[in-house]
Amino acid sequence: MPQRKLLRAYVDTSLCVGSAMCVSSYPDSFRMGSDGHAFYVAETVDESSALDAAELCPVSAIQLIYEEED
Amino acid sequence: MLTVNDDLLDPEIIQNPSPYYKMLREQHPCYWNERWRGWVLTRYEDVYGALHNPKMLADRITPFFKTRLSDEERERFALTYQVLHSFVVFLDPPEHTHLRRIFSRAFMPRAVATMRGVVEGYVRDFFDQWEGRSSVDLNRDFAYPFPANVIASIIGAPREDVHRFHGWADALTTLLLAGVGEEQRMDRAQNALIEFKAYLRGLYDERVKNPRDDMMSWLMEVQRNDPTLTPDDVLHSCILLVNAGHETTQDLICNTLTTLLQTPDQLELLRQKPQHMKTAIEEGLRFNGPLKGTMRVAGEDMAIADKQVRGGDRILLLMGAANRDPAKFEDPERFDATRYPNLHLSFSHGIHFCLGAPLARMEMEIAFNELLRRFPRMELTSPIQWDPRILGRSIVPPINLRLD
Repeated sequence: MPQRKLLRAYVDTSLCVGSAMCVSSYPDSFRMGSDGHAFYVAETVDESSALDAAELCPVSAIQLIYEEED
Repeated sequence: MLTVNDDLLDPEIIQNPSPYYKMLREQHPCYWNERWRGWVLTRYEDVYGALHNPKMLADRITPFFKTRLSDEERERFALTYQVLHSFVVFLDPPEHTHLRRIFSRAFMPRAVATMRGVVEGYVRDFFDQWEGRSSVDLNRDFAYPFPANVIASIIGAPREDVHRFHGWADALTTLLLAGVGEEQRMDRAQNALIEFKAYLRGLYDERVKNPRDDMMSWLMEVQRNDPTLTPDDVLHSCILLVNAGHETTQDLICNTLTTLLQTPDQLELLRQKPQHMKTAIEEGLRFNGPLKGTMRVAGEDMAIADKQVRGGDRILLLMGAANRDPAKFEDPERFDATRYPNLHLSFSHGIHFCLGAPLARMEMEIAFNELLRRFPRMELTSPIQWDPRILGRSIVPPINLRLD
């Protein structure tokens, strides 16, 4: 199976509870907003940190968008 | 203006807190309760803000021990302090951050999904025992033993020891959730902690040479590779897990099922359309969650809803009141099994958001699907009497159900 490329990561604010697991684990990629929700700030997507943060999130709020397969 | 009732354990408030919460939200959103000696927050916006505010400290154990106990008591209860103070729920950053990350890995949704088979097995076992009976006690015959069995399996304790967990967890919960009529609750809690820790030490020693596929072995492995953690941290963490995963889930089961049984149209809807189970469980959490409130200590002077809160003041965050704030929830006094979105605060919010939430949600979903499918005619046959507690919301057993 060909490796799909991760295009983008974002935090679904309707799910985010502000546990800050992503922010404390990967401060280069995630920041805490003033409304209590995290958001993704990395300019280039780092797949391993985005993937791990997505798994660590207690409410699975981190969404990963992959390139469509041909 | 009428004076506000400061007795948070007033039977009328305990049995039906809604009118009291409404009055506080509307007239005294940040209220100094002289009897409880602290501020009480009830609006969604304020409770949410406090849960996300890093200046609101979660360590209410240290101030309690420093200011409320005599020197003699402090010495006598040193072990209780030592254990409670290592609980991640009572820690603030930076200590909190490290421990929380370790636990998060153990309870991340993917890890919890691997426990599904174990949970399904227990649910089946318990409900098999219900078959052929005309009545059961929801609490004794399911809600009480079920979560304890699950958490014991996760940690790695043998099933035949589970009954011992109940007494220890109960002693600790009584201390932490401010029950009444317990003069000796510190003594009782400390004795439970001593026994509990000695028991867990036995499990720990067994695993030093022979690690198993359980959470205690996993925590031991993490601890060996992490110079900041001690074997005590592993033992105390297991005490916290048993405690946190025990009575809260028990209450969630009892509160949600009895609410549903008293709201027959919503129960019928769920029987017809079990696909709404997820939102129904969230609504159970919102409507009668196992915790009405949680506590914080102000880390500095601050203004909340036009009141001047001083650093060191205690603050009671009533999630139960926030969850019924009409500014956040439409028709908040109605139980709506399909409510969505439902951003209740029952698992707390912010950095102390309940670690066990994915596990609790899975336990509830499996149990309720099975329960509604296998016992479609069940009815509540005992009156609902809420237990007088400041933080917890729990029904006094028995909770009798007629099954046929």
